[in-house]
Amino acid sequence: MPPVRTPQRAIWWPVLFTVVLAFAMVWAVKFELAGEWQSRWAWPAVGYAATVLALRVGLALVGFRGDGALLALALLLAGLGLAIQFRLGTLALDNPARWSNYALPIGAGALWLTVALFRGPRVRALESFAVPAALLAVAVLGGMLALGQRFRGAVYLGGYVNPTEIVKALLVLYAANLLHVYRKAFEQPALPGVPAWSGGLVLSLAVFWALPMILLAAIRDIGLIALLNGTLLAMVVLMTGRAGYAVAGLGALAVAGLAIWKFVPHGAGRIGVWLDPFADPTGRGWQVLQGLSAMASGGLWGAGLGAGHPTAVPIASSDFVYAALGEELGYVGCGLVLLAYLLLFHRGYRIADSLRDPFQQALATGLTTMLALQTLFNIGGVTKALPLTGLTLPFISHGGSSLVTSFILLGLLLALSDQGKK
Amino acid sequence: MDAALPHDPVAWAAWLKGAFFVSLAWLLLLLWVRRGREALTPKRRVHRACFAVLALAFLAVYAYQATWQLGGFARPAFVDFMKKYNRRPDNPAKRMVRGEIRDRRGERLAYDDADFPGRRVYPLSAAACHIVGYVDATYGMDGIEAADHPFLEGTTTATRDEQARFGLNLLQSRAPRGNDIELTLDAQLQREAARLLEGRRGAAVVMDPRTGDILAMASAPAFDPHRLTPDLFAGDRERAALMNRALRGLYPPGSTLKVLPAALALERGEEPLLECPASGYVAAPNTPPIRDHEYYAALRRGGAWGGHGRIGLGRALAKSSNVYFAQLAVRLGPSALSEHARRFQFNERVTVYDGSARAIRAEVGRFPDLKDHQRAAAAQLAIGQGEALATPLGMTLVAAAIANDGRMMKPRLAARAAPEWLAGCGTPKAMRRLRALMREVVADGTARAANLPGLDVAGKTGTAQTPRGEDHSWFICMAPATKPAIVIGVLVEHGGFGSTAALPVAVGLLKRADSLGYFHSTPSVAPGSVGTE
Repeated sequence: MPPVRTPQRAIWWPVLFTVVLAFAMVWAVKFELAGEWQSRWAWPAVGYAATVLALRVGLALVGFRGDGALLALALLLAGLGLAIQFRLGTLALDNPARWSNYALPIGAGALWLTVALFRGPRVRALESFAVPAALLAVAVLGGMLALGQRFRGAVYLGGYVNPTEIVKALLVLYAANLLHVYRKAFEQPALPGVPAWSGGLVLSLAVFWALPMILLAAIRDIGLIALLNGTLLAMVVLMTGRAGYAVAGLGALAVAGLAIWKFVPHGAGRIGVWLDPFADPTGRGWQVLQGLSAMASGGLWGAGLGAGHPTAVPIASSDFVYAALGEELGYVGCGLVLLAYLLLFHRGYRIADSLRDPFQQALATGLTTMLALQTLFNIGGVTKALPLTGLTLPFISHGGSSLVTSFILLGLLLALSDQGKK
Repeated sequence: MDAALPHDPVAWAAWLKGAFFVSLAWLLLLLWVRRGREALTPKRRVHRACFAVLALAFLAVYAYQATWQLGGFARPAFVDFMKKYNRRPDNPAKRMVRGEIRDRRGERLAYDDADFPGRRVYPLSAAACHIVGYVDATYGMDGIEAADHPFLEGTTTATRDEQARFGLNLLQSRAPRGNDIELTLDAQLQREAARLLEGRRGAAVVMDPRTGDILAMASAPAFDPHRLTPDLFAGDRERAALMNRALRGLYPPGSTLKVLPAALALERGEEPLLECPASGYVAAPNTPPIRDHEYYAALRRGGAWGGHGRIGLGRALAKSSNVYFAQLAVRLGPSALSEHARRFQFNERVTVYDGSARAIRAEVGRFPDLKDHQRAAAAQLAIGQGEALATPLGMTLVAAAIANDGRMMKPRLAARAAPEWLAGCGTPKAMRRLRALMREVVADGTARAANLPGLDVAGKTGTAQTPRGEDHSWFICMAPATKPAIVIGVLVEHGGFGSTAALPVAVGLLKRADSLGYFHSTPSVAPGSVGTE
């Protein structure tokens, strides 16, 4: 069946229209409170529209022919995220010099660069970047440990830049290559769930996978460890088609969870709060209970963007942005946002299914799974369905490093989607 | 933006929200419909299962989210948290409306103040404080407020009505409402019972013997459920105003218990004539003689009393002769007496109210398990002394069983529960005869003050000796004796003779019941048949 190419133009106007409606809700409340219109309120929306337009033009210039719907979904979510950040007051409208104001344009730029560099057949070049990527990841994590400062339990560099985010992209690239190189060992397991013996595989895993995990454990980023290993597991299961890995992986997860609960005080606290937040409602349980209170206050339809009180939730703008979403857009709005995410992941897996090359296929699978798991962990944590992992909500949470990384992951996926046709 | 909004954020903000939802939904639909016309064509279907698992995981999280976002009102700990720490002006936890408690005529006994969210109002105040109970942030809960807390909060789903309410609350989760409770109580009778007991310690219970409906249940001393204080919860529980004496107070039943040997004798068709001399009756060697109160009264006056002579069951009951019933008990057999007390549910707990959180239960009374050689103990128990104990509700139930031709109905407080048989305590013939004898007690015996014209009252007084202070005063009665519509049990702690303290309370209740029409309409006012006032 020959691929049908339809221009994606029709999709862009609804995306822009929807995002502007989200901004309009905030404007209405701000106008009501201030009694006057302030022109600086328009800047985030104008900036968003300009970014979208520039990206369209930029991608057309490099001859991009990939999956426009995927890009549209990501920009829709990023637009909603910007409207919410504007509403929460995270954007410093008085201080145009703050770089975090420009996270979205920077992310879009990173996306464009990624697509421009690796679009089409050039995506094969990524294979040779795999080992350097893993080395870079180890270097970044080591540097963080040496130079970073602790804040809210995590390690940051100056200005709250969090370079561990980029490790996600680097290690998923490495994992895709590992799967490709040691495909045989994975496909002929010694036991169900254990790949066949290969000295190279053991060495690679020890140096380029286990070492970063140890460094992450030292940084105390358990969420990222869970995310990376979950992604690796999904990639192995999908690429080999062997359920044994899934069983072994889930078993390992249970053992790891139990070990964290028993031996890691920091992790035990999080699991304890998850099991019973009411044991310490004004201490450890405070954040998750305030988040749930916000959602309960939103009810089915929500207060409307700008009309609720989501700033009562600690860190509402980053980790707990989903609670703000629940309060102001209600259960219905949350459902629509989740549908947007699911559509995005559906596109990602479709791209993986359309690729022939095993490395590229593994990469597409890994990228999509990583975004999907991060979304699931974040939303699960805020709704108390899962323990808190400290992961952000892709494209919506405040946090420049996180947003830029999400756009780079998406850029790689878009680059992969562009080379299916001759 | 977190300051309270000056006024409702304009109607067009709501329109904007609606437009946003429609626009977003339309966009997602568009993307889904056009998914096949994209530039890429899948060559395999490997990732379908993966996506399905992922979608299920998201669906599970989204469903779980609903249990907080929409069904949060059903999580008591969460509601507590929100009441304390959710500072939003439109806090849904503070807009929750707890269900009302109403009496059989629809009069409100407990409801949430519409003007002050979270404030509970008890129109009867102290008059119904024990049975209705209270719900308080500091002191917790009691009574029906505690027993049916989840039902009142609207978190239960046992019946179709509760499910409908629950579903409605899910949709209107920003203003949930609980279920209302209708009781068999009659607020008018309840007020009167509390008024008559004022200033004393004791309890009064009014029941419909045919259905088991509790029409009034008052206990004194009482407290104001709107003004709970720490002193209320301190000190001796037995003396505390918090205790519902009608259900929890175990007292020696005194002569009211004589109806038990009387009932047993009548079941056997015996009404023996027994010699009752002033010298009393010695049930067993080396035990003091049991004498009649007339003997002691004469002794105090410095005179002498000639004794009742040879009398039958009717006369003995009317005069409340200890000597007669002590002999009767020994004649009937101690073990048979214990057996008969068990038929009247002594040593059993009866459920008064089966709530969604817990049941309110009460003991009928305690009666030791006698062996046939324990003649002295049987003689003491037959006159209500010794180890026998009864609650005011328990003695009312005994009277209700006699009134309802031997069929003891389960005490019923919730109108939603159907009337239920509890136990068979005797044959209709024997019970009719016993009522006729009890009628004589009122017509020409110790309870003549209760002989209200036209009401055909039957009853039995009781005076129970206590280790310290004056005797406890008891009175159980029913009317009309031929086919009773009302049964009343009254206990006044340290009230002296049954006829002096307890009896006037019962008379007041009989008069009030008469004026409310309980003796004219059969059956009595059914709960729910009269509209809300």
